[in-house]
Amino acid sequence: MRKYRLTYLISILCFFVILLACKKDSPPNDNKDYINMTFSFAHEVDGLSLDFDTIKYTNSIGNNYSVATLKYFISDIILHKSGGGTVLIDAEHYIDAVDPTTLSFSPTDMIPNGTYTYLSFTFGLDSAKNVSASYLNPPENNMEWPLAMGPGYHYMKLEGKYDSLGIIKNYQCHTGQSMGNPYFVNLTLPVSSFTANGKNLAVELIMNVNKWWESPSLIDLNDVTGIMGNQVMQLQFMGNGADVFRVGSIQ
Amino acid sequence: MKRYQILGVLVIAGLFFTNCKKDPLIEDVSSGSSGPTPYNLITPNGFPFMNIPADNPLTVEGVSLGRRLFYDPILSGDNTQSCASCHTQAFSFSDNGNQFSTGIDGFLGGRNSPAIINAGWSSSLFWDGRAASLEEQALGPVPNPIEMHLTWTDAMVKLNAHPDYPTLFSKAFGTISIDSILVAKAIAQFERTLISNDSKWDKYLRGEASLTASEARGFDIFFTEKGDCFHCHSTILFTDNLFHNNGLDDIFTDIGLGAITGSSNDNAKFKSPTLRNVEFTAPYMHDGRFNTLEEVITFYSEGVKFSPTISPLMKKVAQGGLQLNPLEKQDLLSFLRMLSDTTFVNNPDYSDPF
Ligand code: HEC
Ligand code: HEC
Repeated sequence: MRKYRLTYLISILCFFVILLACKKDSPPNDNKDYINMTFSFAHEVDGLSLDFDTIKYTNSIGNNYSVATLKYFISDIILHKSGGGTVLIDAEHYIDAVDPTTLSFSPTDMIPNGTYTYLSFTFGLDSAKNVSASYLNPPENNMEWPLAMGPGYHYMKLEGKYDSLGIIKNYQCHTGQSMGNPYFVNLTLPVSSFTANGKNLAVELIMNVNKWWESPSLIDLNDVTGIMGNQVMQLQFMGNGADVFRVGSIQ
Repeated sequence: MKRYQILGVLVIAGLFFTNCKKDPLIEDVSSGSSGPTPYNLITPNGFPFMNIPADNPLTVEGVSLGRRLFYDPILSGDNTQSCASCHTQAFSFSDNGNQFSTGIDGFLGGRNSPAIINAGWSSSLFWDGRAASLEEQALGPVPNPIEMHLTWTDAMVKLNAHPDYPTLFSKAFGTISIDSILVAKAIAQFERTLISNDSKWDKYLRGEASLTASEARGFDIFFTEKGDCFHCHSTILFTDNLFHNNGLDDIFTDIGLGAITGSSNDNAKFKSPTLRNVEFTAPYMHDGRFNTLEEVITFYSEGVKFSPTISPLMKKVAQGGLQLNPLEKQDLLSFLRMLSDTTFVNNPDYSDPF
């Protein structure tokens, strides 16, 4: 992450050096026909704020649980225009729920003005993006998914503890490309349509963690351990993932 | 970060260099010929980018000075102990098989001396991560009363009076006024050169070695959820550089990270050590409680204890661990031994210069 920012800094610096020292033509960057969009990520459990390391949430099947780790990738955000047509933001973003610097994502792609009726994105990385050794630096490199079970990276690490008949146990909801089969989730989020007209927009995406454990598949946390090679579980989480996010504010 | 982004920067930087022929910056660099020579640190293919502080770039003179300081007992109160006393090359720069290290006054510390290997990629130092950089870390041992026990003021007097050091510091940093910061910087430069990537594992990745049947099975245990070692001893460095309670105890005597952050949620969390060269760094864990790798493996198999802060990654805690059979334990051991890099422990560039 630190390196990530450093790289951008260096890029920007180099860029300005070229501009200043070499008097090259500057690219058009005052274009009022395009806007910048920022996506921010928030997390909750059925309306409760997400706090870490305390067993205080209950899922549909009745497990009492805590969250210790929530790290994931999202990618390929697509904005759908009213009347047809799409704008693809061809990029991926890593989120660690405890690291504020990862909770907002400002793609470099500019978004054309227009009215948009919904947005969709990939939870995780699609097969083209999920290539082993493409992330060499932390924190993303720690999401690696070993070749023997993969390849690629964890789409998500959602870990914590739950109360199993008085015994506290660990669960690890690790989703990813399992044994060569992709299980990334395509989410389509209805929004009350929004219009981009020259003013930058910030879109809030909210994950309800409890949605991972229900609809269509009811999940018992007793089954959520050692699931990286478990095709049945991966498929269930792929299905359950479809409605884990909703759009919050757009401003 | 993606490799193409680094590439992008290089391309941009390249543009800058080719397009701006008469750049004053470049002339400045070449005309400063009296300064130290930049050290060309070659980091292995596939390793992360190494974050080197902008105010302490590696130089040939700086690395060489750092190596000398690392091995020189001048930095201890009675001229008997150097960094290398507790960080010995043959033991991958850990302490000669000792559970705890003895300072110059005979006091024993309470933690096992970690290996210094690929330390340039560590995002924090010490078992509890309390030092943020190698520079910050290197300031600690000299004045520490249970280690080298010499005030920095006295250290400066000794270094300034030495026949060689004023010149060596001047060559490395362009100044003859030696201070603790420069000592720390030089040592940190040397430590960043301590790179290991010539284990059998690396050779296997490069296609220069093949696995025995036992190593291949051990590889599978390590990198699948059978052993699940890869979640913490992760990436090409074999550490995630993060903090976990791996279930050693149910009652803690050393609360590790918890003492640094003040959060009880961090109690008994310690930094995942790299497993590179682990064969040479016995005994094991922050308190050196296990004498052999066999004992470590038995711990992960049968000895894991529950406590409120145990890592959520630890599996089958209620059963005491992974429940590996004797063959699986042997295979995992074969795999860990594949991480031994004899080139590193014999590298003449890292050895005692005296
Ligand atoms: C008396 C023995 C002793 C001496 C002398 C000593 N160390 Fe250490 N070193 C240790 C111990 C013990 C630790 C672990 C302490 C902890 O984690 O709380 C350590 C930790 C470290 C670490 C952190 C490694 C990691 O991966 O976190 C580095 C780097 C290091 N020492 C470098 C040095 C340098 C440089 C010197 C000389 C200036 C030095 N040491 C002198 C015993 C010693
Ligand atoms: C939850 C994260 C985690 C997992 C999973 C894990 N380790 Fe560790 N490992 C650690 C931490 C943290 C330490 C240091 C603990 C301490 O000293 O208190 C450690 C220490 C070790 C050490 C001692 C190294 C040294 O230099 O002292 C070895 C060897 C080791 N682990 C091997 C393994 C193996 C083999 C596996 C798989 C069976 C494994 N680990 C799984 C986190 C983990």
